[in-house]
Amino acid sequence: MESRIKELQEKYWAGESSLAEEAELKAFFKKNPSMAPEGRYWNAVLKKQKETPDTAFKHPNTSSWRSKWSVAAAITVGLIAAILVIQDARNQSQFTVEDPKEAYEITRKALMMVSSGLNEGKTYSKEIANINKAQEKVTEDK
Amino acid sequence: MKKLFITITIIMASLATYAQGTVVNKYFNQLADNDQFTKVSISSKMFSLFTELEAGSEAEEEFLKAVSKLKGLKVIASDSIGNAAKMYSQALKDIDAAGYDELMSVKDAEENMRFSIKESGGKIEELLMVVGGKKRFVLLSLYGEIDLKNISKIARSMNVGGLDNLSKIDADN
Repeated sequence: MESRIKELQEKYWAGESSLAEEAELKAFFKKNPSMAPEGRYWNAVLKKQKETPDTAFKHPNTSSWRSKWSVAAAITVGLIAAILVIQDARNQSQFTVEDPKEAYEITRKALMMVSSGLNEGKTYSKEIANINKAQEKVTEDK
Repeated sequence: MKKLFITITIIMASLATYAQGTVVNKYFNQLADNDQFTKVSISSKMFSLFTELEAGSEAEEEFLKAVSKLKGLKVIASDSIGNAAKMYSQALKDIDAAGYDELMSVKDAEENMRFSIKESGGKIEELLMVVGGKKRFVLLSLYGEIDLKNISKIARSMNVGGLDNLSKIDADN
């Protein structure tokens, strides 16, 4: 059978085969696809795949323990941040003044303090300016 | 690995900016359980209540104007601590490290005082005032939209009566 097919194939490639012989070849390859030229190609690919396991797409650096650690580290950092934020919010709210009258008094005093502080700085710099002027006068007089 | 690095960087950065916003918060946390210090925090909700009040005098008017733009006020103060001077210099260090700009320093025999600001887009976002005396330490933070001219007017308009008399004396002479 095999030799008969070979013979027919040779005839086919040489262009000497009759229509009946071509039909016989077609029928044979339909029945045995692995024997067909393209079938042999696929067989070779499958064989190659079995020999070298499918590792080509795996990134060389991502071994599983590392990614696990990175997830753990990220969660830890996130938790610490959350704890800090919550603790801070609690500390801040603890001292918030709820009584409007009291809040008004405190704000007034605080702003007065800031305001007079700012003015103190200004009068201070004015005094310095005056000293400079006086000095200029003195040097002019000379 | 890259992703992890990016995540950590983002978290650290957000923590840093978070800590930067308020040196005061740090002191609140540090001194939360210390009874020697008075700690006060006033929220923007209160300020919006004040603005409904009617101003009786010029000083009050300036005060309400300043308050209407504020978002928060925090004060930590003590009049009876031994290491006030040390706390003062430490506070200055913390303020500098947090990226505040010095506005002015005033020094007299009794006390040291320093104003620092944090700006954003040409506007003052936070004003920090630190006072350090022999036994006195004050850390005061104003945040929101801060108009220094406006704030400095409050004290001046309070003294209007006295200043008027002064100018009269000048005129008489």
